[in-house]
This record gives sequence, structure tokens and C-alpha cells, in this order.
Amino acid sequence: MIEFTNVSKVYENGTKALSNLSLSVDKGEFVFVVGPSGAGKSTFIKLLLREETPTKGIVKVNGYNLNKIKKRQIPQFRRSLGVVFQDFRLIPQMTVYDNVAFALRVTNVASRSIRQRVPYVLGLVGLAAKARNYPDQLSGGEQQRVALARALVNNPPLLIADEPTGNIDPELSLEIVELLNEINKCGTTVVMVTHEHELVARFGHRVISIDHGSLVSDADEWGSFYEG
Amino acid sequence: MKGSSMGYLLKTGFKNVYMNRLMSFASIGVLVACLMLIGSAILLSMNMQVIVGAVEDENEMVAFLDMDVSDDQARQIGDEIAKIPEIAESYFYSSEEAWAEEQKKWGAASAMVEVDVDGNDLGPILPDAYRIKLNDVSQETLDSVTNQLLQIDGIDPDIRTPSQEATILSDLERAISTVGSVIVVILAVVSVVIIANTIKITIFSRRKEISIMRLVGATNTFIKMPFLIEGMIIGLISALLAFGGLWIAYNYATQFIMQSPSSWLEIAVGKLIDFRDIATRMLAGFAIGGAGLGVVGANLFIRRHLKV
Repeated sequence: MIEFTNVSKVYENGTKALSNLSLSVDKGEFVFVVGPSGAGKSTFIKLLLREETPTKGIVKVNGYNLNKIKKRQIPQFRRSLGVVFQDFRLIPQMTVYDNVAFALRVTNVASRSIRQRVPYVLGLVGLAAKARNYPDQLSGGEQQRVALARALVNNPPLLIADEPTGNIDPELSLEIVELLNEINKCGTTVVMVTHEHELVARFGHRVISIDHGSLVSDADEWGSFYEG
Repeated sequence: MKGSSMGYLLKTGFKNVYMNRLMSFASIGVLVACLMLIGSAILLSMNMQVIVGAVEDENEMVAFLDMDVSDDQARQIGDEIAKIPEIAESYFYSSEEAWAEEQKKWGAASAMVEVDVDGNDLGPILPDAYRIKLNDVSQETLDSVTNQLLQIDGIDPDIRTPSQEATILSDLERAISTVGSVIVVILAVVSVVIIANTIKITIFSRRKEISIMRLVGATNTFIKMPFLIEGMIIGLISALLAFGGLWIAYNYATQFIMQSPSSWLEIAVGKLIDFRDIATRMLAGFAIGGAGLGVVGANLFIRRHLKV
């Protein structure tokens, strides 16, 4: 599903973000990516989304070779991903419903399937009752669930979460990760970047740790990471 | 592209115009002024052409040949005349044709000058001539053509030339179209820049949406479309307003001319174009021009501001 082969990224200003990173994530996995700030996590995400291209090495995601993908194929590729961010990135002028429907409207989905699909995912994240609310009327946890609904609405095989709990109270953070866990159980591959070790320890998934742009460890569980 | 997307794009385009109404209003204002001036220039020059055409029809140049010129010589002179570049067309007007036309005017009385008292034929009374139509009747052309004609052997120095009004009108018409074109070009550039700035503000206020659109896999065309539509809407609204405004202004102006005909405007009265005759063409031209300027303006910044 995701394959990084000897990937290095040096930005134009000379910052070395990743050096010789190799890793792979299989279909159906739930993977935490951890590391201190400046470790290269954001660059990792940007490479996954094809917002950046690697300076060296090969990035393959969802069967697309992102080194060779043509510009006009990028939209198609991105439709095979769901992404949530720390800052939710909801549109404040739109209701919850419209925020979720937006992802479908702008990708040429017929109105009929939008009307079916949006209430379904809102139900999935437990926000069916708040469909008519605006983002600023919701708590941080609820806003993130809206973002999650938007990420899931076109049923992507891969979900990428970039510090999804960064702006949320600890109790609600747990809810979000539990939700991601449920989504993963339904077959969606989940990659979650975080630096909240407690959460990572609690869920017992594979943990990829990067620092200074390189792979520090790749363990089946947080515990074995400590022991190893 | 599905119907639902088209609906979404149109809705977004209209919403953009409304959300950004202050700038939209400014763009529409400038574009209306621009289109109205373009329209006025076109109307003015169309009317000028009609008037100049009418005056020119009454005023062609006539070069008389000397009475003793033979048919062969006449033909040669014709060839020489045809070589003068400023001449659109020239045709031979024989002594007989000229006489036939005169006879129509004179009726029976004309017989009196055909024969002498003894009944002998007097021969041709009027000279052969060439009637000459010019490309334009500016003073410059007239002088140049007259000089060239005078150098041809066998042409009578008394060349009949168009009247002064035609010359003035024709010069005026040329001046108007030149100045008009320059103004139109400048205004078109100004409108494009203003529209481009309006769209830039919309793009800026929607940058969050745009980044999300990119993230969820909207195509570039799809992202651009609402802004192009916004430009087009601004252009079309301006076209309609300018069209209506011009119609009213034109009717007012023509009425004014009809009611107070000064000496030289008299030629114009009755020949002015009726706005209704050209309304459809004018509207189509405005709509295409307005929408075109709008789309060009929108495109100017989209390229730079909407990268994948």
C-alpha cells in the first residue's frame, strides 16, 4: 500500500528532512508514525500526498509511483486517499453536511449518491444530529470527526492522519483514535502521525519511529519498541 | 462533467460575484464604461461611414478628356488612370452617354443644339470623360490624384472634384476610428486588469477551500472553473448594462441631432442608423466581448495563484 525505498528529501533552502528512509505498510495495517518535532514526519506526509517529491528514492502509494505520476493523474490519486489534519481544515462558512459533501461535489460525484453517502458517514462518526451545525458551533473533537467523515466519504483504501489529536482534549483524543481503530477494522489502512506516546501505547499497533529524517525503529508494538 | 457538478460550478461562480460584491461592482463599472465607449466609437464610425458614403456617391471625380482625343487615345488614358493607386474604380463615360443623360433633362429642347439651322449634324457636343471613385475622399488623396491626372496627356485641366463636406467628413471619420481604437485598446487592458484583481481577491478569500479541493482530488479544471465563471458573469452583466445604456444614449443623441439640424449636420438627418437595426448584432458583440474580457482577466491570475 505504501512503499518508501531509500527516500531522501532535501528542500531548496538546504534543509535535510529525510535521509535514506525505507519502509513499507501493507493493506489493512494500522501504523503509528512517531518522532520529535523536526524529525521529518511532516515531510513524510507531504511525500505521501504528493505535495512534495523526493530528492532521491522511490515513493509508491496505492499502486501509484509518485515519482512518475503525471500532473493530471494527481487528482485521481488523491481521491484514493483520506486525510485528516491537526487543524481540521473545515470550511467555516459551510455546515457540517456541506463540509463533508464538498469532497464529493468537487470530484464529480452525482448528487444522488452524495445524498446517500454523506448522512451515512456522518452517522459513522456519530454526528448525524449535527449535520446542520457550523464548525464553530462544535467542539474540537467533533470538528475532527467532521474532518474524518470528509476523509472517509469517498471510501478511500488508505487513511492518513497527521497529528489528528493535536488540538483536542485528551479524553476526546482517545475517542478519535478509537474511531480510527474501528475504521481500520473495516479494512481501511490507517497511517497516523503523532507524538502522543500514551495513545500509541494504549492501542498496541505497529510503531514506526523516525528521527533526524531516518528510521529509528519499526516495531510491532510500543512495548517492544521500549525493550528493543 | 455531470449535471450536478455544472450546477455546483455555476452556483459557486455566482456566489463568488456576490461575496466579493464591492470589487465585482467596481469591475462591472469599469467594464460598462469600457463597453459603452467601444459601442459609441463603433456607432459613430458606422454612422460616419453611411454619411460619407452618401456624400461620396454624389461627389465622384470626373476627368474630362480634350475634345480632339481619339478612341485609341481615350483607351490609353483609361489605362493610365487605372494605374493611380488611390483610385478604387474608374469607368469611361462617353460623350454619347453624357449627351443621353442631358437629353433626359432637357427633353425636346435638346434637339436645338444637335443640328445647326440647316439640319447638319454638329457632332459631339460634350467631351468624353472618366468617372472616378476614390478609396477615400480625404484632401490629401484628392490633391495627389488631381496632380497625377493632370500629368496625363489629353485630360482637361478642369477636373471636377468632390465637395468640401465629404472631405471633412472623411477626415473626421478616419480620426475618430483611430482615436477610438486607441481608447478601446487602453480600456480593454484596464478592464482585464481590474477583473483580474477582483478574481485575485476571490481566490485569496477562498484559498482554504482551494487547498481542500486539491487535497480531496478536485481536478485543476474544476478548481479554476468557478473563477472563470465569475469573470464571465461580471462580463455578461456589464455587457447587458452597457447595451441598455448605449441604446438610451444613442436614441437621445439622434433625437437631439434631428431636432436641431445645423447646416452641415443636415446631410446626416435621415441617414442615421436606427439602433433597432443593429441591436441584435450589438448585443451579441457586447456579450462576447464582455464575457471574453472577463475570462481573459480571470485567467490572468489563476495561472499564477492556482498551482497543484
